[in-house]
Amino acid sequence: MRRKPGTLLPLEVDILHAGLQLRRDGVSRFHGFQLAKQLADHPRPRTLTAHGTLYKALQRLEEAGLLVSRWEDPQVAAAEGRPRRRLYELTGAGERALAAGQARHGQASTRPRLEPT
Amino acid sequence: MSTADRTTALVAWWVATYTRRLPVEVAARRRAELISDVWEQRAHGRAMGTPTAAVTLSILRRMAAGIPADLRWRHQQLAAAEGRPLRPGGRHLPHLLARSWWLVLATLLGAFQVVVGIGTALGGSDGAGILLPGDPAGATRRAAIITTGGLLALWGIAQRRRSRVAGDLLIAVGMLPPVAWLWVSGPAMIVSLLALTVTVAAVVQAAQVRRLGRRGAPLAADDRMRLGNAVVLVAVVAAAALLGRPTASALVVGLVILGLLAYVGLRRRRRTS
Repeated sequence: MRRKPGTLLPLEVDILHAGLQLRRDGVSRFHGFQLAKQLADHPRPRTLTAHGTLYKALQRLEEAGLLVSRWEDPQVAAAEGRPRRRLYELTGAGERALAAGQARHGQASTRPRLEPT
Repeated sequence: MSTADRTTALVAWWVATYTRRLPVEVAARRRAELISDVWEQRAHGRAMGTPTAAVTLSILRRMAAGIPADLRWRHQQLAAAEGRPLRPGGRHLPHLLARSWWLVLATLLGAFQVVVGIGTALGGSDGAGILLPGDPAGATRRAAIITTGGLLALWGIAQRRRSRVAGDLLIAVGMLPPVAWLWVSGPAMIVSLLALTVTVAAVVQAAQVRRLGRRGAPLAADDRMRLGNAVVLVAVVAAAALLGRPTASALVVGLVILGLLAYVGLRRRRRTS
């Protein structure tokens, strides 16, 4: 899908919204599959987002400064016997971009403008 | 190795393929994220008691549906690494590949079916048990089905210039014989999964052309997903029927009726929206 310069795609809005929901549920840092699961459950039930689509969108949001990410401590992953997770976190700019769009259009599934970073 | 392990290996192979020649850190991050994602999905499925087959199918669908985005992402990363701008003209080939990857796959699989089918027919039933599972006595019949499937797929590719929908549906039908290899272990199973992917892509493309979504709008993402899942189900059962399983044959009839009802429903929704 082509975008107008400075706007967010519907999936990107949904990701920010899901990130905010996770934070409200006490999960400030989330990994890719956790986000895909949250997206699949809210705001409307749907299938899990495709790998390529999800991680490409996450990268775009990170480059726009709306999310930040880092690898988790390898010792934590080793102790739990699983691969290391890349943990994402919603930034203040991400929250504002989402809130601005919601205030303008009165709903979550809109396209707020990207703030200059 | 279980089917779920094979699926994880397939995802790892695909991510290793499209991250080849990318900067080391970029490639390593994408690979690690995908491996973690698949691991988490399998663990979540186990925790929820989801059947392994459902989890496997979901992982495959997520991989296949993300292929166009993967290819576009690769192109962007390569351009960034080489310090060249992304221009519409300069990205013609990758853009074309991202849109038509399934046609490339369909061509390769169609040709492969013809070669395997004719080779088996000429060489007798030796080796037919690997790629043409079932009773060795019926190997010639199965070789004929495989060859016909390959020819139908190739004809469909040629036919797309005249009628996009007819061509896409021919490709979908032509991919059914290799889908039957889903029950075969080893490399044939990968061919089967690729054929299943092409079948889904062909039917979704045909539906897009028929504009079964709202008037003048492309098919919605959710509708594409539902259609894709339905096609996977129908294709797998139809492929089982090709192997001569009577229960599967009865299911095919039922699923075809369901498919027709879904088609009529989508058409009606388009008219009323």
